[in-house]
Amino acid sequence: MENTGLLMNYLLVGTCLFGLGVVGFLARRNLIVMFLSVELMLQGVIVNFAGWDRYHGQATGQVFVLFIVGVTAAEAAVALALILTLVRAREGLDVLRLQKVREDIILPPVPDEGEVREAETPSWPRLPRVGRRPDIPQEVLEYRPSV
Amino acid sequence: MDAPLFVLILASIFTAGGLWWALPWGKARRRSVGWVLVAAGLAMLSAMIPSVGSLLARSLLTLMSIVAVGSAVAMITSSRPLYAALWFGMAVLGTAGMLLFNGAQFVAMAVIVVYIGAILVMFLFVLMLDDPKGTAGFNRQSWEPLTASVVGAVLIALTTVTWLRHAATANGWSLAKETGKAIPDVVITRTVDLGNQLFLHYGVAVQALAIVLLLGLLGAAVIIAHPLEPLLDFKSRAVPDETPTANES
Repeated sequence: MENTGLLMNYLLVGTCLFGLGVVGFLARRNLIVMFLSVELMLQGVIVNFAGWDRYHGQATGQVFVLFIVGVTAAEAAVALALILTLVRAREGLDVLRLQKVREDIILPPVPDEGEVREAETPSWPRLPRVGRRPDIPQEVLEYRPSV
Repeated sequence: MDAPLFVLILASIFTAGGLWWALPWGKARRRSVGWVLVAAGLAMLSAMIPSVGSLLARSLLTLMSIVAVGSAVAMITSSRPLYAALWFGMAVLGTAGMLLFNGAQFVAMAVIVVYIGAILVMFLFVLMLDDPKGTAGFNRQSWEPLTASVVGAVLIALTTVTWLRHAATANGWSLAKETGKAIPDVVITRTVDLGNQLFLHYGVAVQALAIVLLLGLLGAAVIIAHPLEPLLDFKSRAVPDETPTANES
């Protein structure tokens, strides 16, 4: 059996799996499908290791495949905990709802000592009240489910 | 290398266009055209590598490759996350078959047990939390499908042309000549080699992997123990007491 041809077959399958995983991770919006796409990229790496393992006639590639499987198990545990927490807090698996996870640590700049802020309060006409303003959080206003 | 380069560019265009057409957009259309285009592009890629072995071995290898890559395409283009998870299991089965073809029985069984038996079942459970049928907008619409498809196809084409050109050079992949072992057509098993390698040369790494798994478990417990504040909590949101003034901007 031609070693190089067999190796090329494995390399092609590994490359295709990795590239398709990249496409899935970039394009899909479901958290679970994104995680499974990352796993698909790892499958491509596993196929790659398997091909080189047979090409060299050693068992070192299988050792690395086992390490990948172990690291994947740890990653899946952490990812499951993160996804459960986020689903409980954001009520959904849409990744666009996670854009506000970071804290607002960028404070507005402090004005200088000599700088006096002009109070720009124009005198608007007073209008009669028609009802209580609804209390809609800003995140709901910015969430666009159809994008 | 002119003809392979032309084939490579054509294959990447076919793959990118097919993936773009097959990814969910939110509009109903005939998506099987996209799958046919992807299959054509990947078949063009596979026509550039030489065929190997006897007819039976070649057929087995081709079958398992088609199962793995086709399930991967079906996984990333399925708008229903439940079906996407099942197609991922099929792709793992194809990968395990390719491992089995190399005589790596233990690793193939470990891959099946860990991926399908543990990870996939766990995530199928999580999928029931939100929209398992794929009727919501975020499952039916992709995020920049054209850009993502082009990125994936260009990545596949560049990687393929890289190792193809390296194999075409005179001293490409000369490491096999150093080992000098004749590799038979059918590899029965190499589990004994794996055990020797794993526990004679990589013992410290196995311990490190065990520590990583333990830390992952602890990290998952810590993350679960500190839940986030709910963002869209309409039920317990108190009605504000102050009346808005007319000047409030």
